[in-house]
Amino acid sequence: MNNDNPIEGTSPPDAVTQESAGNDGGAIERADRRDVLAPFITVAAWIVPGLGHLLLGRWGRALIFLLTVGGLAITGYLLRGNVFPPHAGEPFGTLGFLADAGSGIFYFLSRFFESAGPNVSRAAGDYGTRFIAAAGIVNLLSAFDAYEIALGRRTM
Amino acid sequence: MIASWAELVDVPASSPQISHLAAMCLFALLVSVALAGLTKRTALERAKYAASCFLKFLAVGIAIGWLMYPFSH
Repeated sequence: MNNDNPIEGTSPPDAVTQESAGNDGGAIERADRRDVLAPFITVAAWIVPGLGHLLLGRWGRALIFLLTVGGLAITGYLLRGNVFPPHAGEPFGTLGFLADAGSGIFYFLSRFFESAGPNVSRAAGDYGTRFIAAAGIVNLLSAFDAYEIALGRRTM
Repeated sequence: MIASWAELVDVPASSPQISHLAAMCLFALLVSVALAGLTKRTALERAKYAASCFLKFLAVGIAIGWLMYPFSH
């Protein structure tokens, strides 16, 4: 008799083999689907704060992230904080851009909210710069959270 | 088409004035709520965590402010 199970040294019964194969197939299919969907959920969570969690059915978190990221970003713009452009040309400028761009759609709406441009000659503008960066960082954290939930690694 | 926020609401051309303490409180509040949403599941747990985090933000901010006070003179 051919030995199919080298670890145990004996072959399992056929019925058990078929059942476990069916379960494994379903689990693998679900895992594949999660692997495909997770990046899309993450990108959605980045572009519109809270959208990733909304797609995952986490309404509470979606609302919290939309309000907090939006609140931080819009407050920053109204305080006339500095918005870093994509090609800053220096390391801190690049880091600033990455932080700012983390807020997704709010970064692209910066000209709408801050039509007069930044003014960091006053303290309020300096506070605004920090608010805008914090909005991006919080949104990136939420996007990573959505990714973990989409993959099924996080149940809470 | 509306080109800017200023067309919708009456935004002054000069920079708005906000005290350092008010800015810190607003920042602490928003970040605390975000962190609570990220780390806790139930509404009660979130409220407790957000309140705790907010108070700690303020305490640390005020303590660092007083620690820097001697260097401002």
